[in-house]
Amino acid sequence: MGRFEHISQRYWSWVTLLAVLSALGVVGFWIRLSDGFDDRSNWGYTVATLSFLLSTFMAMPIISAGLRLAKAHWRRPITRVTENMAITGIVVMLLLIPAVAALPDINGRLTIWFEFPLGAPGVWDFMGYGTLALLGLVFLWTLALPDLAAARDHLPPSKRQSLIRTLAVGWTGNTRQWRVLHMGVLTLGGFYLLFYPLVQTLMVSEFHAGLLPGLKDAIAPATAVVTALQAGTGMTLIVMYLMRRFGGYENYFTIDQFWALAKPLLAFSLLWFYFWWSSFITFWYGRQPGETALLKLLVLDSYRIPLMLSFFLNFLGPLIALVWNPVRRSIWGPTLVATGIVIGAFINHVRLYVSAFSVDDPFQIPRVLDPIPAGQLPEAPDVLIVVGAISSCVLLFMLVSKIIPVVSIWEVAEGLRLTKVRRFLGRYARVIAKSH
Amino acid sequence: MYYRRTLTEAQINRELLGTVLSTPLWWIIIVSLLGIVIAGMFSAIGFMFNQGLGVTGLHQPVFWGFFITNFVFWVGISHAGVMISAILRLSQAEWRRPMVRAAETMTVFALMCSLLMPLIHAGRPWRIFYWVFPYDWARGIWPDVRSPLVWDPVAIITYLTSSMLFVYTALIPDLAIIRDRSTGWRRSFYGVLSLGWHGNPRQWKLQGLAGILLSALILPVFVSVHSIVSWDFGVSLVPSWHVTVFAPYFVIGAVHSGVSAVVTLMVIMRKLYKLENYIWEEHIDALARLLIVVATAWMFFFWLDLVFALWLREEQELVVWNLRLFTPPWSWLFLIFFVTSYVIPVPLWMFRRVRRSFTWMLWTSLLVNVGMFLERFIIIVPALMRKGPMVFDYSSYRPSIIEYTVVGGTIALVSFLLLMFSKFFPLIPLWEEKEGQLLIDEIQIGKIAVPALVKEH
Amino acid sequence: MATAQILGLFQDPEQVVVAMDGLKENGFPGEDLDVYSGSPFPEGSFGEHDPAHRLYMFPLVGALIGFTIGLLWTAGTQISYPLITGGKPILSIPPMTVIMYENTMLGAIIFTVLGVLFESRLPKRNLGLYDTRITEGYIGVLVECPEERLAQAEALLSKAGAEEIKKEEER
Repeated sequence: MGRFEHISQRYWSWVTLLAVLSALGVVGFWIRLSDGFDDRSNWGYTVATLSFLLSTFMAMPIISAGLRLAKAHWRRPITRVTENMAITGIVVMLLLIPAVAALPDINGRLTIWFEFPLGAPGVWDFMGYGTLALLGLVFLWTLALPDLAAARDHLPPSKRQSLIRTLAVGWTGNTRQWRVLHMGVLTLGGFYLLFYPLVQTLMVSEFHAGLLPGLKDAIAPATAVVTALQAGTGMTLIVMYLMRRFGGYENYFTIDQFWALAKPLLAFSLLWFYFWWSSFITFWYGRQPGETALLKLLVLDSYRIPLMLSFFLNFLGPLIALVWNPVRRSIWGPTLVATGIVIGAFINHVRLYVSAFSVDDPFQIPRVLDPIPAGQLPEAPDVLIVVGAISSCVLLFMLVSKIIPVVSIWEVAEGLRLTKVRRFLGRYARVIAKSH
Repeated sequence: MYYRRTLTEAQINRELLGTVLSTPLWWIIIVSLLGIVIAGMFSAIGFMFNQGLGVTGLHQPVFWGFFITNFVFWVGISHAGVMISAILRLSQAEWRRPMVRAAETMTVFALMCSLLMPLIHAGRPWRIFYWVFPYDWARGIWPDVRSPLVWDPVAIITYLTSSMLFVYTALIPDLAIIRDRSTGWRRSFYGVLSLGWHGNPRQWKLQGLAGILLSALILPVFVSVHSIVSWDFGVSLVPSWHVTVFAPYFVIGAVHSGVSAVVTLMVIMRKLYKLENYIWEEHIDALARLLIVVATAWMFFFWLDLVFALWLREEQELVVWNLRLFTPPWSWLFLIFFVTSYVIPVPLWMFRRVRRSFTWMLWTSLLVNVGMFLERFIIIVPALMRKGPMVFDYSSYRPSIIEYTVVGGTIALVSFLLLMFSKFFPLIPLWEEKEGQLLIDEIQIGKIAVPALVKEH
Repeated sequence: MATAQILGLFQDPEQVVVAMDGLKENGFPGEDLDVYSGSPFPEGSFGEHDPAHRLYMFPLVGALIGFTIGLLWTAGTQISYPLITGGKPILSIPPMTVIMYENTMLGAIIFTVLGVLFESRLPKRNLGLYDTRITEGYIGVLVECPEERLAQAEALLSKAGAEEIKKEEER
């Protein structure tokens, strides 16, 4: 609670810097807006950033929901960090606006709405993303209630305390409230887990598959979910490292958490390759003109270098590094790999969405991509938008971390109650009970 | 949470080695009956070899029917072993203990059964060696490694070998227990198989490491096997087969049918072998909750397959799906598959009372496997019936009595092999149960004692 | 110096801890002590000696061998029978990858099992000093020592509460 209560000068310096970078992002957006939406290729990097944020920051609450369902005892210190990232849904919703605006007309375009658009894409996309963002916020708030109450009771009166008091909605921690909290958390987490693949399906079908003539890639939404799980886990590790290094949370983000998260990180890296390969081998064997053209765009020619980079950062590198237990069982090992994974994820999203948005005519018949667009490098406004969007996510996280503690105090306390160290014959062993 | 009954090592030995050290009457009766069915199956196969594949329902263009459906089905069932054993071992789930060996053994026998299918499907299986094994005895021809039909036996033999080694390695301590309880030829037999196991800390440590290492190594193989089987279909250009999602769709479907098969096996084992002390409501409850997650993921992949199959509005694709969804009897089969594999079982599993009822879990798990067999059938046959664009190439398919006999016979064969295994080796790992007993503890919080587990690390 | 073995049988794991502590305090080296049990206890429960093992090398070696066999097989057969199928090149890397991968994993798994057996010092033809009650719940403490210290070891085992003590000639 001490770290939560105290707001240092360094904190305000970072907030200021992030606010400036976010403002620069708005400047970049304004520059793009002045060119309008006629040239879709101007918005490729914006959409790639949208997808990147959806697949990293907004994938982090899944880590919390998943670990809760699996009843992993080591999750307790890290779940709040992942849940707090649900606040970045605000940035995702804001980026969705120009993304949808940049889409071509739905008539004649291939979509999952088939012959019944009925308000698509705008209405359904906003409903879908909005529901996910709202679910994330409700999930965060519900899980934070006991700690909001603790902060309400602990902080001296101030505007901050007043806001926290409002958010705590009179939580007292009686038996009924705890029972409802546990049930609600599982339900909300389950819904977030169920809804997330649907939103990724929207993302992939609207902004990628529908713009590439001849692309019939059923696995693409599933690939997006799996790569998001990988990137979300990676981002969790990075945030944990930063909190440990700069936030003074060494006692909470210990080697146990890094070691435990390194294993699913390795698994997701293998799955990254598996899902990509399933797609690739089908097209490579099919050799239909449409498939060959798409392979040239996304794999063999135009975006070959981003794929190679992503291949190394998201698969080969993590595999080589994390196969070794000494690397997995360290702080630096998983963090370094995670950093590479997040960078690789961004490059991969650029490959998928910038390529799609650089296609002149998504409606072409026959459905064979011709001409195959060349790779597109970012321009200055794109860089500003990317930096601004990521900075605003980090800024929101930092602001929320002074309303809701970044370590779940009630969960850690519960964990301490359910764990004891006792002598077992000739050694000491940990005894862990399950809460339910 | 578990409230484990306290069992002594002697009691565990006695109860779990019952059918190994003696032969109950029910075992003899059931094995005999299964033997008769299997004899019928092999007779049908012999008849088919003699008369040719024309005695089946296969004909142009439907050259893959019940046998290949059954092949995919049994490869699917075989995924249960690794799912239960490897993944739960790596995640240190305590509730895996009574089911790991039965699941792994079912994997081995299901794989053997699945290998039988393409062998007999060739019509003249003695010629298969030329096609698969890499040799060139004055023929100048090598197998084409570009063909997924060559990847299949490589993958399945890898998985089969790995699973057999996995079962055997974990069986060694139990073989030592049987050795110590036996006399005469049995003592020599189990003595050889147990390799002189003592149970010192080094051996136990390596046994634990073996479990983790082998689990970690076999998991990628498990994912690859059914993916490779799916690519038999996915890399072809048959409409509705040439879909990128087939690999994970098949794998998750395999896990769904495999884990359901484990539930069936657990319930039957509990009844026949009187294993009430070892297989509890908590175990099938945990399996049912796992099945809900797996089935829902499977439904997502099914939905992706359907949506993106229709995505490009390719004519032949639409023809095949029209046949599957709207043309009887295929539409009826589709409805039955959908209802039995998801619509009935999953909502039922949401109820705790259903999850903890052995009867309900038996019937829902059987329903799932009926549905999953039909799922593979509906993927394979309608696509071939409408493979080409020319209407005069359209055809139908009706399995013959030979195919029904063979498919029914494979169920009897796997059951027979499991029963034979249980005659010589315990289906529940004794040492794992004993270890589980040792790790039980409790923590006093206020007025209650909360069950807890000792964690080594 | 002639060495001999002696085996003490206990029912209570706590007594085994007392026995092991007593033996080590009286100068019996950890490497000469062993504990036999019918089920695994958490590592270090009896203060036993924990020698290093090299199990992790085995899957690596096996994987390399499997990878090499897979590469030779796939590349060799394609070059030996250079037929273009489906427009794919003679040396088609994607299909090679599948078979190479399977062979790599098979090699790794087979060598892991061999490694487990090797590091466990199995197979062992002779059980040596052993008791079948060990798999019935008893725990055995085996001491290997010079013959002149046998009596001292026996006394320590008795003091710790051994239910029965077996010596080599009684096997």
